[in-house]
Amino acid sequence: MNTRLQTSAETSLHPKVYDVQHIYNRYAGMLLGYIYDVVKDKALAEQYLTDTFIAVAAVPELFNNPNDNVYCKLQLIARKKLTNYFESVGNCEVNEVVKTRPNSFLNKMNARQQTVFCGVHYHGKNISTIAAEMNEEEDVVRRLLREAFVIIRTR
Amino acid sequence: MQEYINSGILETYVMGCASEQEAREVLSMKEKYPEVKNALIELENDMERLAASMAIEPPHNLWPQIAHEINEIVLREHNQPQIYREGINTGKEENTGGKPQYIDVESEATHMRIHKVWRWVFAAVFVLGKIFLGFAIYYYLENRQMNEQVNELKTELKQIKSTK
Repeated sequence: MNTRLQTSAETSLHPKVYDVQHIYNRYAGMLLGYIYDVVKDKALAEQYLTDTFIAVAAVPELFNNPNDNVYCKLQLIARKKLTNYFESVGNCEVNEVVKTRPNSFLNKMNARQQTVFCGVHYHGKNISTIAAEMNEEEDVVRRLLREAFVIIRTR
Repeated sequence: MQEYINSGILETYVMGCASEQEAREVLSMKEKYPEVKNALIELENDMERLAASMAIEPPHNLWPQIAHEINEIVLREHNQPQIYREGINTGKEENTGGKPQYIDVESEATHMRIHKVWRWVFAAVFVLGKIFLGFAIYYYLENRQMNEQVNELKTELKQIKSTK
């Protein structure tokens, strides 16, 4: 009796799930690694990963442009999901980030570069906050961030 | 241009910590200058390289959970009732010539709904009815008794008259 209804529901559902699965298969590991480095809790990281991909399903048009970097968009969505977590976490402890999982890129950075990069990447801070914490100009902080990226590129 | 690229603003944009104004500026520069566009692509690749080096294999049971939740959300969206809007759901509401629109309601129900205050009115009517009924019975019985007494007195008077 409901065959027609079921068929129409399936045809409208599955493409969305398959699209997200395609992105998941390619980027879930990278994103889980990032989220785990932020929250340092496996179960919590998996929950944030789940929330992120559910959010991806809600905005599939965001990933239609082939020129855009999919991982960076996923990371931005994950960072939005992590906003409350970032606010609940206190000061950035660089050693904690490096101690949990060895990161060859971070190890190559000096202390100031690590502070800026970890503050932005793992603790969701903005440039002005980090500048105030380091008692430096925002331009200096941006330059340190750029230096950190140069290290990532040349590593 | 190189100075702009070296300022670190592109890095803040790629990492998602640029202000709205900075983000707009970067997007505008990206459109205008291919050097900026290329620099952004390189930075995005750097981020991806960093993430790839720190990737963690997700557990095998995680995707089925996510797929299930997405399915449920999409199904819920499909099953949501359509919001009623005049002139969209039916064409009857249109062309009413500016007259107020009423819905014709013909009650087919055998029951009616009334305000709760009528409960007390009905109770008062019931109690008063009982009181009046009591009085009526009382006066009826008293009246009957008096009539009997009058009849007895009449009979006695007749007997007295006949004996005289």
